[in-house]
Amino acid sequence: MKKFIKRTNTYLLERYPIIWNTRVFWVLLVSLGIHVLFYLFGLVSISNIETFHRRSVIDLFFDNGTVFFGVIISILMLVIWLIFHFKHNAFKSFYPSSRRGLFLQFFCYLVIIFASTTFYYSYIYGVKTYVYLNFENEEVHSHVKTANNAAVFFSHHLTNYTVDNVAYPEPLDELYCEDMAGMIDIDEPYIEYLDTDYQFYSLTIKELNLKDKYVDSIYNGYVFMEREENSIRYFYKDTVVDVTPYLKSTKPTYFNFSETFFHEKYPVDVYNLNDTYYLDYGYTHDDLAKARNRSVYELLERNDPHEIKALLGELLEVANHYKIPHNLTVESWYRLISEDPNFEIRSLIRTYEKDDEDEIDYSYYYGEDEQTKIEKLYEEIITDYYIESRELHNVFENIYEIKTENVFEGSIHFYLWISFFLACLVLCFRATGLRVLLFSIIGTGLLFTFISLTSVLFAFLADTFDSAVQFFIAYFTLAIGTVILMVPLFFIEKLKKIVTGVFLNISIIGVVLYIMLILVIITMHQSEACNDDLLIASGGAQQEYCFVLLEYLGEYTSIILFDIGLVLIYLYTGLIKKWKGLPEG
Amino acid sequence: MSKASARIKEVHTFFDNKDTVLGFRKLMDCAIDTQDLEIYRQVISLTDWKENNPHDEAGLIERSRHLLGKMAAVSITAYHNTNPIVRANHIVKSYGKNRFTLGPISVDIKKGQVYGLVGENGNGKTTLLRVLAKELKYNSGTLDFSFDTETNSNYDLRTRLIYIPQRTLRWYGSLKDNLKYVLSSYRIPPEENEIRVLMMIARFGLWNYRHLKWDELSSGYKMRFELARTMLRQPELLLLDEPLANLDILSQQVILEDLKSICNSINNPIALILSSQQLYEVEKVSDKVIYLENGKYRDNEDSPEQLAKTGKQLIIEIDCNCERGRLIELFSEIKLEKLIFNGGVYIAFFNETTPYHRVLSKLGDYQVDVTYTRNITHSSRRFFVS
Repeated sequence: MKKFIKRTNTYLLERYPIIWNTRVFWVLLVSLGIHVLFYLFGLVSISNIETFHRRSVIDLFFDNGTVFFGVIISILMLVIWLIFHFKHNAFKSFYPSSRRGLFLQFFCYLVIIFASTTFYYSYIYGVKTYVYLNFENEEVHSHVKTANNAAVFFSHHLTNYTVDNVAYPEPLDELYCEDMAGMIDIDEPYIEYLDTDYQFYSLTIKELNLKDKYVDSIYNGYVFMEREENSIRYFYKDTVVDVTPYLKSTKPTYFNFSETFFHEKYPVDVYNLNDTYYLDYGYTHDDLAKARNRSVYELLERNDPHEIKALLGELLEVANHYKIPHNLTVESWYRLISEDPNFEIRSLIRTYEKDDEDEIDYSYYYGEDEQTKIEKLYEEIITDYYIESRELHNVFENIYEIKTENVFEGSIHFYLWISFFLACLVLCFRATGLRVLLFSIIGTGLLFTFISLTSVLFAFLADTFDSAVQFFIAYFTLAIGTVILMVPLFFIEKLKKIVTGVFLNISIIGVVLYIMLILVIITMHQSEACNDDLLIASGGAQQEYCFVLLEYLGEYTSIILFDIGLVLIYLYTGLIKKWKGLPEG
Repeated sequence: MSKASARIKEVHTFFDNKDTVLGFRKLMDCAIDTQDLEIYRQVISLTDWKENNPHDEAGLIERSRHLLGKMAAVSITAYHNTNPIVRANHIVKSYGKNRFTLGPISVDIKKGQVYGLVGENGNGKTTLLRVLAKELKYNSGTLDFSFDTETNSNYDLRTRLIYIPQRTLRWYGSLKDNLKYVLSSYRIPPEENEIRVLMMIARFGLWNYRHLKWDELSSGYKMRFELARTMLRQPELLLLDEPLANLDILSQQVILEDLKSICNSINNPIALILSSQQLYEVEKVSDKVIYLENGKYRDNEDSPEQLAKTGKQLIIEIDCNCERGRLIELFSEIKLEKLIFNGGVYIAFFNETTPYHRVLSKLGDYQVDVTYTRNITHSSRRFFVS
């Protein structure tokens, strides 16, 4: 091993001095090993299926403390690397150094820091590999289908079975159910159940075309809205409809169940839909709910005990497969369902095993009058049976999330920029030395304080904190940034070397932020102009009405700035060389 | 006879007189002048043989002569440019109002010449070196560099001149790796890198120390390492600040001889400026001495005013166990004009008609117990007399 290290070092030293000096080869080799370790760690950390019972297993890296382990290893690696790297400095000794060579050094720093700080990805890929290897798509899909079909019988909450959930048969699928207290027209037909009244309305629609730049009215008073690609449809209550003839019962019944237990298309948050979203308080008439209610309706209409029992049996098999805690059997469960011939809800199943806390009589503390009727009823009909269906949902959610989540989205920018700025810092230290770097850090702190205090003073004098203050801060920072950038460009030989060194360091680290500031200022102006001119309809994003630079660039902003940053660092290597060659004093 | 042939002949003479240590060093200088990698290889293997057979002097001489024969066959193009590579004109460097000011100083530096920079502490030796090395800005005057290799930036210029401060920077890793790093930074191909590095290691007597680290080397070997590193970089101008400090007398002599011979390379001469307090040693190797007094350049020649006043005096430094009165008495016969005792040694000023051998003769006649005496008439040592 020692011989291998020596031979490799000699090979690199003679042929690739920058790679030898930056130790990038060895750091990447060690990083690779640690990445493999984290990958294996991720692979085994979820080998127990019960881990999937909690939500967001994909965040396990942060939740189980691995993140601290990763941070400690990253810090150790970087410190050890810096100790080795700082042993030789060709630039300080005035060995020949080209701009390309300096940039290559910077790039090596970037790669080293990136490789030493991104163990998170290896861990997550370990987790992903485990999920891909152990949860085949078809099998999971079949389990989800079973769970969705049998979810009607979970009977955890009465609210899932009340009439406001119904969406089949016609005309129930097109009606809106109002159940807010005070919104019921008591002169029109309505349904009363325990504490709640339900009134069904037909709907009218107003459509807002998003292409219309100017609109002359505000669409208030709608009960919900649907967002299409180029339009928003607003729904308004029209006339009351008496739905009693169409209902199996006005009490909670399995017939009313229209919820989909697990959405494969939207595994994490069913309401966070990309193309359609609802600002709805009780409207469940999307196609999925209608289809679900219809299949439930048809199943119960057939009323075939074998079919229902088979469905329950399949679900319990799925639950057992994922080690979901429950105390149900097909027979006991079927008995609860079939207590009422019209499938009204007679009993409820717990979402978790009954424990001592469930024995507490809360009415003793709060008084019987404090409990709502539905709470009282819940207490009366809740059984000791339980199935932790939420955990089953979590299992599906985790599997789909882990399989579909792009772990690089978002976080990659964090790691890229951390690497970029740390690499800039190391480059500055190598080029200008510790003393100048310390002065640069102190100088940056003073500048930050100066800008903050001046902005606060301006806001105080203006007695406001509106856009004028924001523009002042932005332009004031831009002016100071411009002065800082000008010094190394035009006055590098006119001022003292230590002074220009400080400005050079701040420029190297801050030049990308300066570009970002320009983009922000452009965006602020565009945004302000847009706000002045246009009516922004609720639910719409600004860039749909006018061109706003940062909204247009979106997540590409980071990548574009990063590329610009690399180009600027390359350009600055010329200045670094120029500064280094200057005499002191 | 060409310069190269003359040098090879000189090496043969050293071996004839059994001066093998000096002869072998000079042999290596001749080898370096050839810039022939095959010759380098043979010198390296001979060095290795020498280290393994330290007592076989005859074998070494025989092998060395054989190698010298091969070197003689290699044609060497001599360097001829005698124009100054550095021209400083009335340079002034001030550290502020009422603070130390160096200059104005004008000096021309040529390749192949050794310039000794002497002066008491605080008289601006380091400042002048740093100004010439482009490490310090100067306030007025001009400083022009005209190196053989064209440079297009200050940084490139500074890669062609090397300034070694009194306290050299610590380095890490093995001595050999550090030297290799120099050459790889200069993009020397790998196959040449090893040979050139070993050649320089051999030349500076670092063969047995090549795997050692900085803290395992003595001051003398650290300075040898610095010189080896410097020579690998093939600078055109070398500025050394007190290179002899912390070195024993033998190391001082070896380093100075090495510097002199490196500076006088046939095809790759270097302009060398070194500052030191070791006056005699520096004067011995210097082609020109720059004496700084209160930041001003003082010519080694006596001023016309001084000559008009005292004539060209004979100045002798004497360290002896003899009372002042007795010395005055015995020297009065040979026209002693002034005798100064600084607590350690006497400085005696004689009339210009008195020859040095008469002084020695008097000391012998009167059986004075002389520890040491030196004629400093032409040495800058005479300026250090209080």
